[in-house]
Amino acid sequence: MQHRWLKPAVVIFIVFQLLIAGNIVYNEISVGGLGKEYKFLCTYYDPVQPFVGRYLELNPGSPCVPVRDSATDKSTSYFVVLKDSGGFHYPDYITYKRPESSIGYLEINQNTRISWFNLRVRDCKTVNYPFTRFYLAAEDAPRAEKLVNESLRDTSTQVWISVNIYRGKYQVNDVFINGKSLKASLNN
Amino acid sequence: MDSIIDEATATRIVQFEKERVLPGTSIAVVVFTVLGALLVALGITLIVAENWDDIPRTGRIIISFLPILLGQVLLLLSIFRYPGSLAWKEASASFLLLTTGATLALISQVFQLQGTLSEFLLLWIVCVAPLVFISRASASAILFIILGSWFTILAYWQPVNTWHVLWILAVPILFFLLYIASQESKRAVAIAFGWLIPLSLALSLGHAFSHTESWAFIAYMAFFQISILFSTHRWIAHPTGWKTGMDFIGFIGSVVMLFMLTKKFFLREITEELKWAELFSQPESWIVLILLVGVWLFLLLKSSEKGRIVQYLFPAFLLSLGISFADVDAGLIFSNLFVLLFSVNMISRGIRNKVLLTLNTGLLMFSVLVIMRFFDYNLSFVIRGIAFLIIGGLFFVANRMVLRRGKEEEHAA
Repeated sequence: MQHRWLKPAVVIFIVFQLLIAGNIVYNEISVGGLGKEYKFLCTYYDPVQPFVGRYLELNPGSPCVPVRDSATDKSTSYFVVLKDSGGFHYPDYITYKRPESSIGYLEINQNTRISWFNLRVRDCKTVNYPFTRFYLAAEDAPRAEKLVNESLRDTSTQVWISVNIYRGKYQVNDVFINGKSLKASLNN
Repeated sequence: MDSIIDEATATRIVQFEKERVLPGTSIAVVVFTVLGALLVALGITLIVAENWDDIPRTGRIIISFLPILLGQVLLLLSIFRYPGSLAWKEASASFLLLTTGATLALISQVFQLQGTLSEFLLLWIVCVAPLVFISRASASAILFIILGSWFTILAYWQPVNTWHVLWILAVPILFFLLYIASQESKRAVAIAFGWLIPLSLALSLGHAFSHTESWAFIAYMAFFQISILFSTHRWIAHPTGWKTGMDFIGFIGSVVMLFMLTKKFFLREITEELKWAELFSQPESWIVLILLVGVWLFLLLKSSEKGRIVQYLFPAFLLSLGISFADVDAGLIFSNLFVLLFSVNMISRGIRNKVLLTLNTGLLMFSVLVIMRFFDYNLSFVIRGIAFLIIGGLFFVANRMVLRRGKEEEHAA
């Protein structure tokens, strides 16, 4: 026997699911459309890391960045203000207060509870960029890995990740090797 | 030979069975329908993945939504068009649960979304949690429990900072899962719930005590006792199905905890580290602990099987800890005597009821206790050898006694 509330509950549930998925899509389209492009140089990554599934593992670095203010025990994320240097972007400083929207910054979530250690004002904090994976088709993965590996070893080539950032939120666009898209390089 | 029932009654019974087994409600049909739903969901994802990069972004966004829309249509059909069909209910709920994950994964690929697997699983859990309440389907409840368990294991290494979402979801879902699981009358499914629910809860419980590890010891003991008591309740539709998993997990867990209390260094450490201030500084810890103790007390008072010593292990455990706070040695003696008494009780019950499993479990516990004490004290090899001979002899004699009694009674009958 069905309860009276079941049919409206099903409709609400379906709308709820579509709203969650739709909200993700909307946010990402906003970042892509309204955000500005930032380029992060990739450094050499551990060659023994396997290519897992359908993505390429990249390493934009883990710099130790000066901290401007101190965290509170309610801080769940911090903000990395970025600066442009020679066409590429680097972290300038870290703050626990959200900067103005006119400044380019990245919001990074902290998934561990703030401990007494983190509450102290420290000279610098290691930034772990959240974008370390680039998804592509499984059959392209071995060639992509080989191409990126060789390019990273060659000091005359530059490999970077292009990321759109808008109000701290990011969206990975593409990987470039000396200005050429990885996808285009794989197709050649 | 005299018939047990007359012909008219026999005819009525046959007629009743024919009418009762409707198409689509036999367990085999349901199982294979659910399997079919799982494979179709996976197949859709794999086929779409083949030429994914060649499709423009807008097309990929639309395709990402297709699995979840298809699942939702099937759920609507099962509720509005085929409300009486168990196969439809189970298959559509399972299909929607999986296609929700597929849609979220496809959207992640379209937009190169980063983040950890535990964050993805939490989002998936949030999106399908209401399905457990709406569909009341056992298959989707089992899948949901597996998903939740996967998340809780991962979250130990990839923690998420949205725990408040989890706690808001956890309590109503838990109670609802227990409700639908308790109403499950099919033996195979009841057995699955009987194993999955306590295992999943045992894995998850540690998160509530990540900052109050000493108190986790007491919480786990309460939880294992709840496991034993739960399956004895009258409102469980298939108690024997539930008992298989819950009794086993509850018993093994309780016994391991009790044996830990028989070690002096452990007892001393735990009494030194148990601090009320630490417990009350973490809301999730004291709330969960009070909940567990409250549920244990409720189940104990309402239990339909009274008088089993295994149901009183938790008070004995607490008493041992309480005594240890005053004097560790006194607490140690108490816990060792209690474990000895418990094992002797199991041995005597096994002999009295002619149940070999109970007898041998009691003998095993007795042996483990003796062996553990041997490592604590410097005894000569001769004494240890004699003791092992006696215990081994007891195993043979007791088992033989029970088997012989069983045969004598069979012959007498």
